[in-house]
Amino acid sequence: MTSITWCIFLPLLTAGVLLLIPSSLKGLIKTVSLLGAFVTFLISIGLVRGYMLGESAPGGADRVLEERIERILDGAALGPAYSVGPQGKERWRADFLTPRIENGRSILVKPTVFSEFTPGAQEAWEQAAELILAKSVSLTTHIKFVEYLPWIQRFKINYFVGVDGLSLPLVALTTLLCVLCFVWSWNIDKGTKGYFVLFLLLESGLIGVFCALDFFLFYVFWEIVLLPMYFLIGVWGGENRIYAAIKFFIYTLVGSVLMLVAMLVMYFMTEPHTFNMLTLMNLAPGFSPGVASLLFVALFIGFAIKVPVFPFHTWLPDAHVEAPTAVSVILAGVLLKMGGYGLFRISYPMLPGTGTDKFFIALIAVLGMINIVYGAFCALAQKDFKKLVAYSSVSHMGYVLLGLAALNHTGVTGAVLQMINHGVSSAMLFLIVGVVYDRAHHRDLTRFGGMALQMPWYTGIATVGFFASLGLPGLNGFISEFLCFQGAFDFRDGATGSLITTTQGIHSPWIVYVSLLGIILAAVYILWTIQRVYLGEVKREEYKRFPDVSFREVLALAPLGILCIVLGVFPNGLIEFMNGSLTAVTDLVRGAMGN
Amino acid sequence: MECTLRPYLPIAVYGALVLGTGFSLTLASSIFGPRVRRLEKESTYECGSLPLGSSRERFSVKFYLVAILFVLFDIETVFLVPWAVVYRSMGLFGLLEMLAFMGILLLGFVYAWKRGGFDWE
Amino acid sequence: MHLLNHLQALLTLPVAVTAPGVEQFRDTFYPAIIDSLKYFGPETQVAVAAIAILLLDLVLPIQFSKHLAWAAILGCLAPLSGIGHYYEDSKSLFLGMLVIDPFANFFKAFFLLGSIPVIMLSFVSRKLEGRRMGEYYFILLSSVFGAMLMASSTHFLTLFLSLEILSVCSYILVGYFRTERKGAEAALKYIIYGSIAAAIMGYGFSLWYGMTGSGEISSLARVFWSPEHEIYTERNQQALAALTVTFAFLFVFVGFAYKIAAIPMHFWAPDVYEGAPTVVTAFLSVISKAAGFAILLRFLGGLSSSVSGLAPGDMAVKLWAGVDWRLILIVISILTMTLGNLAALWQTNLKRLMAYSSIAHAGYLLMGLSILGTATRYTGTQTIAFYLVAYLSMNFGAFAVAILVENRLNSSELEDYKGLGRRAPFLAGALTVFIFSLIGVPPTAGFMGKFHLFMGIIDVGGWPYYLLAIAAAMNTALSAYYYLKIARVMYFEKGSSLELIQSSALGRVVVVGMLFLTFYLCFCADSILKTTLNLGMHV
Repeated sequence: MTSITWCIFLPLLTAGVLLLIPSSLKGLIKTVSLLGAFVTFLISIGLVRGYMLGESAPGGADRVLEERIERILDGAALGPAYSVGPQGKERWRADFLTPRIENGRSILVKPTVFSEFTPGAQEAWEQAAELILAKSVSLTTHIKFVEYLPWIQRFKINYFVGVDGLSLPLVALTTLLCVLCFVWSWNIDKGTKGYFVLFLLLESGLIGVFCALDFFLFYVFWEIVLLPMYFLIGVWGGENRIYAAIKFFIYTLVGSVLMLVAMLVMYFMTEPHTFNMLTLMNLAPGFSPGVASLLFVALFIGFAIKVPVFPFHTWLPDAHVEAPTAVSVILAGVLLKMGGYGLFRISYPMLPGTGTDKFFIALIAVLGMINIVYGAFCALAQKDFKKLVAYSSVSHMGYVLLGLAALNHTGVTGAVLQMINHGVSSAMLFLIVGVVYDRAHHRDLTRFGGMALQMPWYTGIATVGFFASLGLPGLNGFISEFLCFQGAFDFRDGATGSLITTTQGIHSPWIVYVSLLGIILAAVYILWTIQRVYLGEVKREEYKRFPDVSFREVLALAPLGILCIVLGVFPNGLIEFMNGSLTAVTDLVRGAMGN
Repeated sequence: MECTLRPYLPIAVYGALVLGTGFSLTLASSIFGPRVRRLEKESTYECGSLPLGSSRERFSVKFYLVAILFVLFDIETVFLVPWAVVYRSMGLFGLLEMLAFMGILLLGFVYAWKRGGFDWE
Repeated sequence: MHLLNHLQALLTLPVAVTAPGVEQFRDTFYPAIIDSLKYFGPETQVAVAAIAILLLDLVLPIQFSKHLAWAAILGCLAPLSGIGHYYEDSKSLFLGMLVIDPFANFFKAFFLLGSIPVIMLSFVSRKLEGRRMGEYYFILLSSVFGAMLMASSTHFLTLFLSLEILSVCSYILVGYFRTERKGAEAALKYIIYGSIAAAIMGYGFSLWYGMTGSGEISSLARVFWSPEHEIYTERNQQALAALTVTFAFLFVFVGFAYKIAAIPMHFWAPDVYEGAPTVVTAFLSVISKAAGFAILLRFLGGLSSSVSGLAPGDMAVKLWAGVDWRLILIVISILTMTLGNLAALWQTNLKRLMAYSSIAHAGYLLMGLSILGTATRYTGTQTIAFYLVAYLSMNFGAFAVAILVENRLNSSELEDYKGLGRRAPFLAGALTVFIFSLIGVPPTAGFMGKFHLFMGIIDVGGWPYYLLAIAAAMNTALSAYYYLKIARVMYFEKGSSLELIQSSALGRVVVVGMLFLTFYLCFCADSILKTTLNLGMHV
């Protein structure tokens, strides 16, 4: 058991322990869950620190895969022409398992004498070929803390997990938000045990999604996230929770079954058949353009529903409005990132030909633009505080698409950074809404006012969150939005440097110009919200009895506020942390563009 | 087509003849036959005696039970007779087989008896 | 004296008789039949157990009658050793009437093991309490006997007979509570549909017999592949012969479609499932359906030339107008799953909902049939066998919970499941797992099963299969709506009562067993895959 496996399954283990505790001991249940989540968080911090060692970080994917290849070859009968022992093995490997580089992809063709191999050697070749092709992907060197165990050998499904600069920040974000959510959920008294068990299950699923390097495993974790979410919204949600829960479930299920079909098509179209995501990054780019674009569309719908991209976004406001505060935090903070992560980890590296296709770049840029502007306008129209924040999420996730569509290093960095920053700031906003909702028991913006007089500390903290979301320089949102736009404005040709080209970037500047509107609109709806909630007179007598933020609430809010500032002032640490992996991903995609 | 269906042609002709004859005779009698309607003629035919009430009345489910039991043992005979014809050539094997069959049937008989399948009341 | 002579003549064997064929009878048939009896042990044991139970019930006092369940369980366990002993054998029995091979043995074991939870649930079921149970277990074991025969039938005669044994027993089980109107209606509907299906199937058999001159399933392929039966040459492709083959195929399919509740013979399912005792519904939805698939696999396998040992060729048999029969199965599969799921959306009774869900699952299983004989790594037989085991775990699990709830509430209306999450946390939790398994969400058996089916059809490729995959994927999402409705009423809605629902220990054992199987099939899929791997070789 490596530390990453602990990180994935510790929440699940904690959930198992919870099941043994009688449901009447609510204090103990909360303490145990918080402890479990906190230790998970510490492990993830340990992973981050370990990862910063760079080359010498433990469990490098290339090393683990190499060991695995050696072990496979050790166990196989290679035939009479090859002596038993390392020499024969090396020769066999040199003869049959040396990949050929073509268009930046490594290719391994089945040897012509394949049918003369012993069955054992045939199987060994297939297994080893898969791993060698995985190893040859440039991204592999950036993946650390790898664990590789066989699971369903008949279909070559493995428990293959590991993290790189793209997934590790998201893992850390998940574990952090879960700790904060458990602190926040201290006041949950209805079905406490079920709530925490489901929440821990959710955490396991989320971490698993970000760590999985086997497509099948990824899918399993992806689906596992659905179940607890459904119940968390459905049981602990607001008035209209049943509708919201089922809408959420069915929307995402439609997306994920499409993903399942795409996954299987990819499995069967690759030779050797594989679910290994790294191998797929090597082999899948070789698909014919027609198939690739169909696969891309299927995967994109699956991920777009999660992001959510217009026009698949309608589940989000419903789910957010009905979900309890802590669940909203996870929903906005992490769940939406699953979609973005899927695009970065699966869609683009595996199907770069389609991703860099002129039409698809334009499509995604336009969708991003619609998300930004439409989401902002919708937010502007809301009277429900939480719905406003939900639509602001739609708007903010649009920047991710915009940065992604730019497909240059700046844009991609901006997009990933935006995912993390949005994870922090939107989580904070939902907690801020939660504070006032817990006191007033309504979220009607028109009925608030003057909170600044009544709850000065709360207003202070809230302002940080709002301004971070608005994109005020000095806070985190600004950096990532800026980078997204910087990437999107880069109309140069990668090769010649001439302006406005047909081979890369977003070709139509107007898309970017329109998207810029989003920044202004964000300022409008956020400032207006601040005005309506915090400024002015205290509208109702009962508001005067509201206490300021409690210690528990500060405990949950403060780390996020601090992160907003830290990431806003020193974004470089995080950018450098992700740089290697993101460069590898961008190169994978851009590699296809060059041809 | 002609090769596969040719042998069936006589059957088709025969069928057409049968149907045609039947229909035409019925038709002819209904067209040409004299019709005299009387009460006695319209009433149910009960072997000459007067009918007692409607013939569409329900009768006891026990009749079905008896009928089914009868059919069961009737079938037994259907199997016994051909066996009796060839029992010499079947020999011991045939005897044992038939004994097994009869044994199972006997068990069923015992069950039906004990459960009151033969009691009318 | 005369009689004595007769007896003597009878017992001295063999008597010199001049009838032709006696030699053959003595030298070939006897040994063959007696040899076959050895392999017929499992079926014999089940039959003996059934009759023994019936007779035991005559002497047992009524309060002990329910304990005949243990005898019935014994009757299901005992044959397993025989099946295990001859598991790998491949042999034709009773002069080509039956066969034993791993395929038949797998399904026999499936029926026997699958009947054990049914018997346990019958024992637990409150509705069956206070009755004489001898007849019930006798009929249940007889249907298992029929199902076992179905799995090993290789001749139209045995096929028809075994199918009817299962059907007739099912009719009685469905109408077991004679005085209940719904049960009686269900039984009558079941009989009428059953007879029509059997008649059409019989017609189909006669057409096949007319074309091949043999009742053996393995001779079906002769129509297509044998040189001396050139009924099906290219030239005849559009001719009446092709039409005959098409009708023969469809007619026989109708008979099987009735057993598996696929379109167009699905109409009986909702009423029968609702009206029958819940235990019987569980039995019908799994064992009876599995038997239908076993025989369907055997029949379609008969179309393959490799079975009859003729010239090599795949099963790309073209029916009338050059339509591949698999295309018909794809269409039926899509229609069945879509209709089942659409109709289930509006149901408010759990049993009726499960009936439509079982139609939908028949549609999913047909996906596995549609890849029979294609050159894939994962044979249709294997995917179906795996899915059936998965389906057994989740469906029996769901019905077990339904029975335990019904014991207390005397209802299977979803309305009465409100607040079950509080009233029976264990049962509600278990039912939730089974529901998610039925939807096909990981990490459950249902997901693995569906995953295999998808793998099978996508491996074949080609637009009809991709279309099928998309349709199945959309159906999965569609089905989530009504399955989740069950979870919804249990957890999200408040019930009128808060009284805890007690359930018997044996009932909980069944639920726990099915839960275990549901997870086991996902995490340790390798083991069952190895078992099902061999089956594909034989069909």
